[in-house]
Amino acid sequence: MHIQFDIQDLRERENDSSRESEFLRGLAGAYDDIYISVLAIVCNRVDADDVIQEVCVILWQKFDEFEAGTNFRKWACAFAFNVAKAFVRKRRRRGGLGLSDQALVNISRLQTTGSELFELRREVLQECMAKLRGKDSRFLMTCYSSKSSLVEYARTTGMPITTVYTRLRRLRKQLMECINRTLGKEE
Amino acid sequence: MSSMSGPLDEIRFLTDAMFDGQINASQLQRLEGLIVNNPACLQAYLEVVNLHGALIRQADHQTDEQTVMTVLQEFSDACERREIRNRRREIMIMAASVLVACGFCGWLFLGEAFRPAPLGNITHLTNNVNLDSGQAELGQLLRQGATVSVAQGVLSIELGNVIVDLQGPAELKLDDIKQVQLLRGTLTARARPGGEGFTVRTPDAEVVDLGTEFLVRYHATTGTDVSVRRGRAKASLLDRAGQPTKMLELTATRAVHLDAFQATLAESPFEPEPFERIDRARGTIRSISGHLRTIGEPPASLVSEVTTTPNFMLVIPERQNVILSENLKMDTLTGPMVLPAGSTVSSYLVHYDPTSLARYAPRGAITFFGKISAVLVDGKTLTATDALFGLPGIVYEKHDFRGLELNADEIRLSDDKETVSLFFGMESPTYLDQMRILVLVPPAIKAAPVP
Repeated sequence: MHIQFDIQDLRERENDSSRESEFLRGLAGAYDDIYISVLAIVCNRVDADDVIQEVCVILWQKFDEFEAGTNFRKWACAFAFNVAKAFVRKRRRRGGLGLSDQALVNISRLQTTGSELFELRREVLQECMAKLRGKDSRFLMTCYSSKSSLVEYARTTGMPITTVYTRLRRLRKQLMECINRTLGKEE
Repeated sequence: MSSMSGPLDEIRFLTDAMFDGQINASQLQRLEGLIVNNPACLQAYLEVVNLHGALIRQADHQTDEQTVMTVLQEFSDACERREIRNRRREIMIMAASVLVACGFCGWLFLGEAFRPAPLGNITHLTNNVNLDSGQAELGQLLRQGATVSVAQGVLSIELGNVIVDLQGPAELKLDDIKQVQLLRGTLTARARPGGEGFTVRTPDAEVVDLGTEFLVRYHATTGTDVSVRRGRAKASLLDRAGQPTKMLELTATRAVHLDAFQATLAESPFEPEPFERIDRARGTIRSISGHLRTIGEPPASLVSEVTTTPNFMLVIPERQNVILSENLKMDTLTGPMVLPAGSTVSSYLVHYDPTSLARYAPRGAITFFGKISAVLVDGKTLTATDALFGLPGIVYEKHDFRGLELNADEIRLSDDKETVSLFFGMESPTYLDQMRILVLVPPAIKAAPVP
């Protein structure tokens, strides 16, 4: 698959009303949802980064089929799900681990129907992050940064990898409890 | 897992493990089960994934627009990389194609160059010859290591100064120009000057030519028989390692039986019959070429339209080593001539009776070991000489049309008088063409038995 995608041209037209800038605006507005739709299916950061690129290619190729005025997010997430599902199937065929098609369909369905709730949880996450100690917050940002892996982090800090995982798990739990508490969702 | 309070904690743990690449197959199966069967777990799964997604986005410190531009930049780069990859792949495919083509050409040309050298060629075939596999053609080159397996008939190979006749069923392997292996059956070898040292090996024996005409017969159960008709040959018994253990030098009309299994080497009665079979097939013919065959067994009749030859001309060795008791006056190809009394000649009848089935007029050539003294092409002369040179038991055509029509048929003698070239046209309504070739018997083989 080859596509002529002039990134400079897109940058320049970001504010005009051409089809390219319309695509760019739609993609920017729905990017979080598209990314998380992909992540929910592949459940792996590296794979999600690869798939999201493929999704962007396809969305751009198919953008002529998108009807202006309809829900770009829903349209884009549907494509994202299909591309991600194909990726997981391929991974399974190659002997890798991956959820079944049935599980993927359930995930996609709930991600679509519960998108507002998940968006709300993401907003609450900002508040909960602010409540973390500075070093915990920095630790989290380092762990989730695309520039380093947990193993590299453990190596550079001299921290055992198990300690890194334990600390990460504890902070995730802390954030999850904070979000649930904020939203009044008690378990 | 025991410390977890319930399935929600469990699914969060498993989702984190999957996200971190720490999950194993059984844990994935458990995750799968919880997602598919428990809506609350499915909800928890997505909450955890959303948390991870949001943290990733936050860690990148980019706005949505910046992120999109980054992704698109990466996408653009990926397109470029893909384009380069595709171009590389195309180049590699082209290079591979060129390599394959070169390899194929190399195989064709270098393979030819590295093929074993030809050691000899097929110089004679009887009309009934059949190979166990493939086809034999006159002039066909035989290379080092080649195996020839004759199911029926006689096939002759010229290897340097030696003619080897293989009598089917027989199998021969060519080791080099001076040595062959008889794997089964019977062969005769006739060495001309310079052919001394030619060796035939069987599992039992090694027979070395010392300037001779000899026969070797090998059968796995009975062992090896060696007979010498002319000259001398050395026969050695081989042990299991293929090393000679006993040796006997054979002279004319002597034979020996060798059995490696019994470790015996014993003289046996000379049997001329296998040699005579070759004589009947080829006499003193050195080689034939073109659309020619000799005859496996003499036909009962050579009358028109009885022994038809749609695809080739037959050369039938007739009486050999005939000593003329009186002068013989004949009309020949070159005019009237007289063969003086005391001359020793062998006779060959060329018979071509294609009937109406023939699609082409054949050409060919016959080369003899001796000089051609006369070529008889006239029907009357042929009939007049049938009694002297013809084989007993064959009914010959009596009509004059059996002779050649020299306006349609072409006969040429080589300067050395050893080769005659033939082209027989097809004249209807009678297609039969016959000619008789008289060949002076070389002194070296005058002593051979007369069939």
